[in-house]
Amino acid sequence: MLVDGQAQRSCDMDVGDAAGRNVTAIEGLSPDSSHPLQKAWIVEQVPQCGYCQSGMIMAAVDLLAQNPHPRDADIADAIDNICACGTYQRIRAAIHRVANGG
Amino acid sequence: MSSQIRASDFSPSRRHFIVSTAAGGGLLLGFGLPLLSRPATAAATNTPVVSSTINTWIQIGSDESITILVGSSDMGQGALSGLAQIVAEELMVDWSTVKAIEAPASPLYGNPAFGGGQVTGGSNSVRGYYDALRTAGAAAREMLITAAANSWGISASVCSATNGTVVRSDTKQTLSYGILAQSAATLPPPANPPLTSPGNFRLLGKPVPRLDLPQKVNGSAVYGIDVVVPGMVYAAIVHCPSIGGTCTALPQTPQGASAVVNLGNAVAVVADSTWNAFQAANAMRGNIQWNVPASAAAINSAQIFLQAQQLVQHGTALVAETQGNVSAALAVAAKVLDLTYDAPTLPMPRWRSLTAPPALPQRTAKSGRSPRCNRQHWEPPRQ
Repeated sequence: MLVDGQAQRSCDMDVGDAAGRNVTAIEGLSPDSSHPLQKAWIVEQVPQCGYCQSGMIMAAVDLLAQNPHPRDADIADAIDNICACGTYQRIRAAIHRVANGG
Repeated sequence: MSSQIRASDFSPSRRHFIVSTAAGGGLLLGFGLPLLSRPATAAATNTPVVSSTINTWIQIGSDESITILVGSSDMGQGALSGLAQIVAEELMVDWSTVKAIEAPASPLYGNPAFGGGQVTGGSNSVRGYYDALRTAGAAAREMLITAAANSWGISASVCSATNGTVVRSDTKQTLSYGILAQSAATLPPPANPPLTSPGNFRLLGKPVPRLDLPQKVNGSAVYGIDVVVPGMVYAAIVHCPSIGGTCTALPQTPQGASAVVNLGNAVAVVADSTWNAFQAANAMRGNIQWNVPASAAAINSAQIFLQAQQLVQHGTALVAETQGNVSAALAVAAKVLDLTYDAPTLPMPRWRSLTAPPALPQRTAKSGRSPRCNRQHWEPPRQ
């Protein structure tokens, strides 16, 4: 999720620490799955089991806000979330797709 | 067989529910449910969507919706889409019209590869269900064709199915599956419906968009961990610290827990929340008496690896699968690779069991009996 615009692991943060801060979860990214990253995630058929993908997408939102044209190395540095299905290649492809205009 | 599933059995609101009106199938009604109804037709006309069960695997709505039930659990391997593809191929429907839902837990939806057990694992979904689903899709298609022919008063032999409609060859008139579904559902299924020749496959072997991805990019996908049913309890487990050990004396039930259960090589503690169960597990961890065999001291990764090496070199091979004449093929092969692969023994991460969608339970008994008989088992069946 994003806390004041920065990607945070919700599993690693006490609820009390979110008090008074602006929290955006995957459900708040768009009302109709129309965020460019959500669309790119579908085009590139990124998720498998999908369990980690909400966190991946929110981390990508944060990354693109700071770096609109990340290289593969930038993505690897910025997003250290773990995907047990191994969807990393398609995650990169989806981020590059958005960086290149969708 | 009728499986009664109540709306109250479901906590996740997006879950559809179905009401079976008669043993052996018959008509199923969909009540404006997100997975079964399509607002463009049903909502606009305010007509309730009638969903007809053509067979075990296929429901067709009066709104032209095609719903395919899938017996396997999709844990990311694509079974939900892959199995629906098989049905959709033979049913002659466009992929964009197909919805797939997880079938309820029932012997009806078992995998032939597991002797009819509703198990997902071992790459057995497509090869286990393949023949049954092709036949089911083809049988449904033939029933729809027959329903159209009956409606026109002509022979089915001059009718064909394409893209969710039946066409008569003489006048080129069409009837849609949505219109035909109710009457098709009353016809006897053909025993040996003609199957599509693999050379004519439109969907099988072709890449298609997976059906489960929209829910996986907006937080609405339901996982095993999301399920909450009334009166549900939570268990946490403390394993014996050594392989081969057993629990010889249970600890007192910790404060905040409702029961401790001896599982032999582990002890479970039951509480009213995950947090309380974890707290109780930690509290009792040091109070469990284990009987650990002396041989346990020799169990470690290095020992296991050594033993594996010895078995590879001197043991008797277990043949998992043989195709063709292996030794003859190897004798004439241009290049032979002789390789040994090894992998360490690793614990299966616990969260993996939470990442598959839940299988709907069958009620074991009606309420009113003893509480023991009213248990439900919800399982995200990931292997």
